[in-house]
Amino acid sequence: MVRERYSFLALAKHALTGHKNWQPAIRHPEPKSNYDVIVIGGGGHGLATAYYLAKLHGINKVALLERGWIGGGNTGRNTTIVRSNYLLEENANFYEHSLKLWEGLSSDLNFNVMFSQRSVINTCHTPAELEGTMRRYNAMRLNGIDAEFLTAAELKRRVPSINLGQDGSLRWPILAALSQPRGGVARHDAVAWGFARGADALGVDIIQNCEVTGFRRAADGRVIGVETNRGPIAASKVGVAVAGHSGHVMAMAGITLPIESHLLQAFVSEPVKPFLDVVISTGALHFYISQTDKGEVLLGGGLDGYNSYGQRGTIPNIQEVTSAATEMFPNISRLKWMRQWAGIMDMTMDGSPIIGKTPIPGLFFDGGWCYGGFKAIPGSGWCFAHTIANGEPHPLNASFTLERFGRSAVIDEKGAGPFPKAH
Amino acid sequence: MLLIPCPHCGPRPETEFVYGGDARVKRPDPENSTDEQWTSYIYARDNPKGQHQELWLHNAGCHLWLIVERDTVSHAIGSVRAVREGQQ
Amino acid sequence: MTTSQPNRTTLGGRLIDRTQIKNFQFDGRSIPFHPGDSIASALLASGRSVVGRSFKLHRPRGVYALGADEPNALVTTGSGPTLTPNQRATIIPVEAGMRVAGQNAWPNVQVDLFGLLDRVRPLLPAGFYYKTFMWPPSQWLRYERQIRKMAGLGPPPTEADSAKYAHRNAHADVLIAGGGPAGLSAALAAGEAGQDVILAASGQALGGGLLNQYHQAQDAWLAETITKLKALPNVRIMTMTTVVGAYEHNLFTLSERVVMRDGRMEGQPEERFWQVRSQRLIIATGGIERPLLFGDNDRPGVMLAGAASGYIWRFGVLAGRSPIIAGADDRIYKIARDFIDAGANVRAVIDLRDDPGAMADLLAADGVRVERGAMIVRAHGRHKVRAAEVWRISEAKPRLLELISADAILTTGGFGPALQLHAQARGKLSWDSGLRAFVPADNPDGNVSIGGARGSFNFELAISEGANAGRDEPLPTLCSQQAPSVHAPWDLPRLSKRPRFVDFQNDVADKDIELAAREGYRSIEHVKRYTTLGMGTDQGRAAGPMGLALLAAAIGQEITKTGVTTFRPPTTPVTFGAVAGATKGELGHAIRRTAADGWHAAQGASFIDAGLWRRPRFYKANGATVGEAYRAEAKAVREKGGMIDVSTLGKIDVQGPDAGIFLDKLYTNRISNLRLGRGRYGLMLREDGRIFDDGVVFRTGEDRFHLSCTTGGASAVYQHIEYALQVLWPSLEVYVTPVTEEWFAVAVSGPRARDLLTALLPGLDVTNSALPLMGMLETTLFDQRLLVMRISYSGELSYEINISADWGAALWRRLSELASDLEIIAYGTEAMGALRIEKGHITHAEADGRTTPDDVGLGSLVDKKKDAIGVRSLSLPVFSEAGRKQLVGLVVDDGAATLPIGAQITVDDQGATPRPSLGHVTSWAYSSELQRTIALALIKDGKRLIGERIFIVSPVMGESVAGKVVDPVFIDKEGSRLRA
Repeated sequence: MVRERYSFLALAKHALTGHKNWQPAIRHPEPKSNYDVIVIGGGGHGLATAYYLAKLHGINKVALLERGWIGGGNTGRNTTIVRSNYLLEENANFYEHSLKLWEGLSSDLNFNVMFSQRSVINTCHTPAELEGTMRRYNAMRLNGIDAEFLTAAELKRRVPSINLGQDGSLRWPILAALSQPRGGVARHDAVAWGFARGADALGVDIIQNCEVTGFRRAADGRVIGVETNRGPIAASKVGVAVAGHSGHVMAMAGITLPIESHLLQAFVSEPVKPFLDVVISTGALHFYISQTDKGEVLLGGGLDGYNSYGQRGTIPNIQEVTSAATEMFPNISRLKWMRQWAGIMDMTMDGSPIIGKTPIPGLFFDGGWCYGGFKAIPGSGWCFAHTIANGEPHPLNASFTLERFGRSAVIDEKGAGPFPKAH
Repeated sequence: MLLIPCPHCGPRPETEFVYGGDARVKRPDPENSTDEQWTSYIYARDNPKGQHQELWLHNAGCHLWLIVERDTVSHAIGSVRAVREGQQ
Repeated sequence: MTTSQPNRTTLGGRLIDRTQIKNFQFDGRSIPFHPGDSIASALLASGRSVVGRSFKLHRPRGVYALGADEPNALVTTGSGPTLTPNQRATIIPVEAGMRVAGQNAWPNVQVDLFGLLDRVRPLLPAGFYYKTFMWPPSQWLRYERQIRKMAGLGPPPTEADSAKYAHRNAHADVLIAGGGPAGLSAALAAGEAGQDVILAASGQALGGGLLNQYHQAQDAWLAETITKLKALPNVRIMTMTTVVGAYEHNLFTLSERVVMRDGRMEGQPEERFWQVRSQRLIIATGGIERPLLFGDNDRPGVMLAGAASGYIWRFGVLAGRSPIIAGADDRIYKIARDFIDAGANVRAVIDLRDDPGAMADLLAADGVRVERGAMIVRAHGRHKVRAAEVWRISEAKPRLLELISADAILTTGGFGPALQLHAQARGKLSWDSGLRAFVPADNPDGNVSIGGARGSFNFELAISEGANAGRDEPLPTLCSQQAPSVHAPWDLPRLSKRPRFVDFQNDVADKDIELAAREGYRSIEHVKRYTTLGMGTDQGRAAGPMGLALLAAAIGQEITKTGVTTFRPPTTPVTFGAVAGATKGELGHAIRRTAADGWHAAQGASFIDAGLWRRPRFYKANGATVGEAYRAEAKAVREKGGMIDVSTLGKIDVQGPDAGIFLDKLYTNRISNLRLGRGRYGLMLREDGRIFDDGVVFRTGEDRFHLSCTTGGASAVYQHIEYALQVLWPSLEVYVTPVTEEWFAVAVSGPRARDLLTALLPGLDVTNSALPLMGMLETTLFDQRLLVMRISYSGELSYEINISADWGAALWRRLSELASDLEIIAYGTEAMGALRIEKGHITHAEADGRTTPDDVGLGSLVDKKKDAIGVRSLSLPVFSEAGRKQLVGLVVDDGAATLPIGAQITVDDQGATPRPSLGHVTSWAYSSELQRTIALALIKDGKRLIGERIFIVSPVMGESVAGKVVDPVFIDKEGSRLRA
């Protein structure tokens, strides 16, 4: 299928005809009866998987099944931060691969995902926090990832609105900061749409409003397709990428996961002119802040702390984050909280994801993204497509197995233990 | 904010409590469990969408660990009882 | 009326005090107002048409609505510490001297150079940015910086906010959102039934829609109802208060703006953020007026007709002196009469209906031009409406009737219910084809919508529904009150090429929605996100239903199938400061101080945070810098002695006949066989086999134990113990009490420690035989129980002395007096760290949640013959595989070198990245005793690497120190000192 390329020229050309002749970015096909691969889940991960299956592995007979509308889950409910500032080698290598894909994504997809590499900065408020953060950033450098130290004064020059709190106005004054300059933010919806348009152009059928209700199995246990509310669809390989809902989807295949679903919230202010051109994340005060391209101040914090599929904001967390944020950025106190939302996180028991095979032949699983799902989208799709296409994981995701939990061979970035707490 | 009816203290806001996860997870006998059974106790969770029996510690109150029946979608709370109750 | 208020009329004005004229500033110009005016009404009165600019195209913006649904008139108020962007001029009461500025424009809203963007509008359709700025790829970040500059509406404040905010909590039987007739009626009924009622009304005055009109009987009802309500002590009426959120378990959040007519009192908060638990919520938030759709419908001077008449009756302000009024129901004739009565020259009334009936005829008979079966196709005028293009559409072929000059175009497409709270409460919606609106279809959690919020746009219906709801009786069945008119406000032929805007704030026009649908964005959420429809500060109130309808039309779907977008809290934006309240700094995270904190501070302690506690890090008397001080302190401890406040360590009292057995399950080693008065170092694991915490346990009675744990772990350890007791082993009879705060504890260490103890407690036998290592004595001091435990963290002869926290300061003072003769000093955590590193003792830096007892050399503390939490996991194969990080010591070639912060360890400090890390330094110090730098580290297979050369590196700081791997215990391996 030949797809018209997006460019300024194309925009100008279509302006002459009132934009009435643009091709659809995606089709709305009816499901066929069988495919080579079915990908369940039309979030960023599923869409990226479908795209890379078609683009890199020559598998074009792919159906992507989405219960609602594409990008409607966590892809559209996050704080859009992209970074690879991880301590453990497995995580660092994977997220760095993903970050590199991000860097070329707009070109690759010919869809501007507005990846703004504006620096992701961790502020350090106690000697112990500085020690731990520096250890992580040193590990990053050894892994070939960019990392930079900022003194408090340098941070203040870079982010004039920040309150270092050294006059006692912060409970834990900022001692210094570490930055990943290549980190940043992207336009979340654009990522879903860009991958969808790219996959669609390569022949992938993106089928929305199609809910999977069960797995079809052969006598020997293999997966041979799925049941949906729009009828059965056959495929010899099925990949599940439904983070947030992994538990009950995989339960249909009889698989219990080391995952709990928890709520993660974020909220924005009304838009104001730009004053904050970096992403700031603080462990001591438990929040992160950035300013969107629209001008909204975007804030997020920790988990609500209990299993939830509520997809509905709650108050204690918002208050905690707002208190901390107005302390560290006293100039935002008079801005107004405009919109709050919540995503359902697949929280694994070690804080690291799962991308790989399952005990059931033909069934593949990608999930458990904890806080890391958005930035992982291209990397996850890339690795998952490789795993589905070859039946074996790529070295980048070879550690992220489901069976690691059965051995207690966990990848515990925070040392937080078998509780769904990790970032 | 959830309002959890503590059987000892009455209805209290969630901020007084510490969450303890799935209450149906049972510790296997360490002597007579396979590695798989043991790690499954540590890591595997049913994670239901809907009714969930879960543990909450009334940390800023009576210090009882409670079993709370809660719907993970609507957050509606059904029965609440102290874990010890009915076990002793 | 004054000449500087050309649009003030003598009619109406029920909210203003005409006897007073004050002034405020708008963009530097002084503008008069009457107390009671909103910023918008004062600006309208002064004839100001352009008050802002739109987000994307910088089109001029005037006042459009009356309340929170205002998409256009966003202004900046205040300056410096009170600068507040994006204030809706329609709801902010204007105050004397207030500074108000237009925003999103340069140099000002009147002559905005960015207005040129509107000229290139064809290049900027919905989602244009997804399609361009990609070439060359390297330039995107440069483009993006420019795009970002264009973003935002008002200016960001640059100074810290000077205002105060407060939090309030309340309980109620009934919370009523909305102070219109339905809400007031509900409040009265509930109040008279004896219920505890909170009535929240967004405006300064009660009455809601009744304030937008004159109606003798209804006004009388309003006055009487307010009088009755005020007499009811169980009804709390809150004005300037909006219910902004509905959360689970009937929690509701309210935002209250504290308004003082005569200036704010000193110390008074500007806003209050309420959390209210109410048995029931009655939603009486009224309706949202909808406009008609036509070309250039966003020009200043185009307004909602109902809002325009509201300005007359509320503020005595004419939105236009020669307006055109258009709509499709009889209200337009009433509004026209309001304008005529107020002295306006109504140019025409345009009715979409072919045969509207008597009201039209009567007005026409009075000489007002009435056009039936006609519509407005386009507005003329850029900064201010000059004329309206009126077309006849009742005939087969629409035709231009006339370009009618006017200074305002007032349109109404009827009302739809304000659904925000109902939808937030997870209520369902259904489509009412008569109203052409979604209406509430259920009562989620018993929360009921009444009056306009239910779709009942009628006074009698509203008050009767209110009465029923107030008494918690079922409402009458909702029947559609009007037959569908021929034309829905959005279903009007496009007869002009000019854009017809749906979302004014974000410049989203009908063509943008059609484009989105054409490009395959067919879900309403996709359209919203692709076009930014309804994502402005009015929370989509103004744009919502029209956007849905246009999308449904564009994709040829029933609107009922299209559905609605999610309603997300808050219903109206709330100031961050109010949400945060006063819980900041120490009020957010208290500083915990030990009993001797005052002494430490007086002695020049430099403090360090340990969780919420603050502890002396070092005493400045011992050195100017932390490095100098801790070296001197550590040296003094080893040579003579030192004392340190260890009150922050967690302490837990465990009692009961099964206490010993229980502790055997908590600790890897056996505790139950401790003799009375003896202690033991113990290790707790998580169930996954990794170290959780450590500490010393003493048996203080036959059935009683005193546990200590780390400062940081104290609360988690207590919760863990209660979990083990109540959940895992509930049949054991054990009682657990956290007692950290009850005790003050000081550790006295060093060769002269026994001398100090003897000086403190003369006559007490503290010889080795009476008080051996891991022994305990109980005595009294100041008539208080005193526990002396002989334990050592420093590796020296050492005692931990515990007394009631109330007597802690006295104990510390006494000790410090006695210590000076012995040249025993006070030392801080930094020296303590150096001393424990010399001994190879672990902290959470080494037990980092990933290490097992074996990993840190404490495997011998695991008794595998009994079940304890986590021990079963240790037999998993993974823990005996190669490649585990193990605790080792490090020394460096350059003896006294400073180690980098957060250092990693590599085989080589040269070469390209990526290169593998062997592990990391967990802690390091300069050892005064060894006179060299020593470190502890976790290194892969570290135990096998003892003697190997390594590099301690910080690539971030460009630092590298050569060293080698050694045993982690640096001094007194045999432990002879602590047994001295």
